[in-house]
Amino acid sequence: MKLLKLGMSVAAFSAVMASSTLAMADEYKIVVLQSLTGGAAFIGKHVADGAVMAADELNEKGFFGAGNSLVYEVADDATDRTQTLSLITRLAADDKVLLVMGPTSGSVALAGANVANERAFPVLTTTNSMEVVENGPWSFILTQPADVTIPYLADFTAQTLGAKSCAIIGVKDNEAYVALQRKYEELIQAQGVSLASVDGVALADSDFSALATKIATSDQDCVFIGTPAAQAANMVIQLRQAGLDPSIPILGHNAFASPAFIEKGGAAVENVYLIGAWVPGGDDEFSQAFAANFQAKTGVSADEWHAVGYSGMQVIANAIKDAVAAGKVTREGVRDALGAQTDIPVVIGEGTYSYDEHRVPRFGMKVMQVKDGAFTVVEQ
Amino acid sequence: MLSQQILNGLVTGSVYALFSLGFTLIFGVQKLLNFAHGATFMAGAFIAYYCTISGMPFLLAIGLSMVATGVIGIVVDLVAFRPLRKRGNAEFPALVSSIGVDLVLISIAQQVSKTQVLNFPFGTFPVKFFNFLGLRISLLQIVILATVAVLVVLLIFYLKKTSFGRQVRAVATNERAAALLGVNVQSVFLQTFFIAGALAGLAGVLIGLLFNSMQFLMGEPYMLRAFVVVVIGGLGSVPGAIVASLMLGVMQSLTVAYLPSGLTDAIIFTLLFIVLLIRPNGLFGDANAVAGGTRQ
Repeated sequence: MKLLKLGMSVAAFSAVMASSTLAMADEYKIVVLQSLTGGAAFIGKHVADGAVMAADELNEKGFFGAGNSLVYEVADDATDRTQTLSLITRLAADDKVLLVMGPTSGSVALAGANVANERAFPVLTTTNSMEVVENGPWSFILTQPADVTIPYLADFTAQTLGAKSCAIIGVKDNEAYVALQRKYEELIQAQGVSLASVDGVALADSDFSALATKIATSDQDCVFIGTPAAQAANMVIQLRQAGLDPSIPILGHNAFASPAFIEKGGAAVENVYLIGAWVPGGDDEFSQAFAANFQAKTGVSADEWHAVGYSGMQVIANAIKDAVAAGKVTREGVRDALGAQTDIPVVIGEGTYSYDEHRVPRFGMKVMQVKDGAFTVVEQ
Repeated sequence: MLSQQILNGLVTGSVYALFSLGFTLIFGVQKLLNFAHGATFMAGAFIAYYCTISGMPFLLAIGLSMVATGVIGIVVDLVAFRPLRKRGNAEFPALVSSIGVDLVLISIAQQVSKTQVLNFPFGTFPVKFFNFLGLRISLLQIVILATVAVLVVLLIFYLKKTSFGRQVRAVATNERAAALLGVNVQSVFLQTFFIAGALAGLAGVLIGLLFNSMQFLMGEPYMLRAFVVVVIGGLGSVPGAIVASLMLGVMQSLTVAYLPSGLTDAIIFTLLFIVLLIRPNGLFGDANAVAGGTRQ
C-alpha cells in the first residue's frame, strides 16, 4: 500500500512538473503565406521551402531558448488577390499569429498590405515593390527594390562592358519583373546606352523563335533578359540557335542566379552576365552549409528564391527574439523589432541583412558570369 | 528575316494545328468546349519527359505518352462530360466541369514537378541545323512539320474514308438519328476523346522538345490560342482548324518581328473579333459544320 501511495505521489509530482514546464514554454506563431500555386508559384513555393527549412533549423538549435519555439503554418495565396484578402483577414483575427511572411508577388502583395495596414497586422511580403512599404507601417518587403539592385547591372553594362545599344526582353505579366526591367532601361539610358528594341513575353511562354530571329538579325551591343531563370535559359538557347553573334554579351538580373539557369541552358549560357544575391552553392561557410543541407533535404539545388526564403526567416526569428527580449511579444512589438533589424547573418548578398531608416531592405548584390558551367563572381 | 519568320510561324502553327484538331474534333462531335485539353497537352509532355529520364527510348516514350493522354481524354469524358450529357443541356456545366479537370491535372503536375521547369536531357533529339535558301532550319523543325502533315492526312483519311469516321460524322450530324441507325454513340465519344487526347499529348511532347521547356502551366497559352484557332477556322471544322493554326503561327511570328511583341495577343484577339463580325461561323464554318459533317 505504501508503495502504491509512493508511486501515485511520484506520478502526481511528475505530472505537475511536466505541466509547469509546458506552461513556461512559449510558442511564437507566424504564417508563411506564399504563392504555392498560380503564376507566382515559381517564386512563392521556393521562398516557402527555404523559410520552412530555416524555421525547423532554428527550432532544432533552440534559437528562442529552451522549450520555446517558432510555430509556423504554411498557406497558399494562390497568386490570387481575393484568396489573399480572405486569408489575411482571417489570420488578422487570430490573436496568436504575430506576423505573416507573405504574400508573394506585386499586386497580390499590395492587396495583402492594404488589409494588413487596416488591421494593424505585420506582413513581410516577398516582393520588392516600394508601394508595399509606402502603403503603411505594418507592411514590409523582403527583397531589395530595383533602385538598390539594378544599378549594379546597369553600371556594369554601361561602364564595364561599354555597350552603346541594348536589346531588352522582359516579362509582361509580373509587376516585379516589369519594375526591374524599367529601372534597367532608365539607368542605362541615363548613361548613354540606347534601347535597340524592347519586347515582352509571358511567364508561361516557351516559343521565342520569332523573337530570337528578330534579335539575332538586328544590331545591338548587348541583350538584357529579364525573365525567371529557366525561361531565360530557354531563351538564350533559342537566341544562340537563331544565330546570335556569340560576342554579344547577354545580361540578366538576379532571377538568373539559380542552378536551373545552368542546368537548363548548358553550354548556351556560358559567358552570360547576371547580378545575384545568391551565389549558387554558396560563397561562404553559412551559405555553403545552407546549400548542402537544402540539397540533402529536398533533393533540389537551392536557388535565389530558396535562399531569400531562408534568409527572410532568419530576419523574422531575430525580430521575434528582440521583441521577446524587450518584453513586447505583440504584433506591434514584432513590427517595431522587424524594422530595426540590422546586420542579421543571412545566406544572400554580402552576408548581412538590414532595414534602413525607410524600411528598405539592404543586403547587397554581386555581378557574376557563367564560366565553365558555374557562377563566378566578376571582380570589378 | 521575313522568310525565316514565316518558317518559324509555320512550325509553331503546325503544332497549334495538332493541338487544335483534338479540340475542334470534340466540339464538332459533342458541341462541347473541353477546357481540360490544355492540361492534357501538358500531361503528354510530362509523361514523355519522365519516361525519357527513366531510360525509356524516346520514340517509345512518345508512343506511351500518346496512349496515356488518349486515356486521360477518355477519363475526362467519363468524369466530366458523360454524367452531364445524361442530364441533358450539358454545354455550360460541361465547360465548368472541364475547367475543374484542367485545374486538377495542373495541380498534380505542379506537385510532381515541384514547380520546376523541366526539359528533355541534351541529346534526346539530335541538334542539327541546315541552311537552305538563306533559311536556317533544324532537323527537329523538319521532323515536326513532316509529322504533323502525316498525322493531319491520316486524321482526315480516318474521318472521311473509314467506317469509324462515317460514324463520327453521323453522330456529329445528328446524334439521335445515328443512334437509331445502330451507331454506338458512347463508343464514338470515347474514341473521339482518345484521338483528341493523343494528338494533344503529341503536341505537348513536340513543343517540349522544340522549345526545350515544360512546366505545369504550359497548356494554358496554347488553350487560349486553340480557342482562337477553332473560332477563326470555324467551330468543328477540321480544315478550318489547320488553316487557322498556320495563319495564327505565321501572324504571331510576324507581329513579334515587326511590331512590339506585347501587341501580339491584342492583334490576335482583334482578328478574332473581326472574323466573328464578318463571318460569325469562322472562315471555314457554316452554321452547322461539325467534324466534316453537317449538324441537323
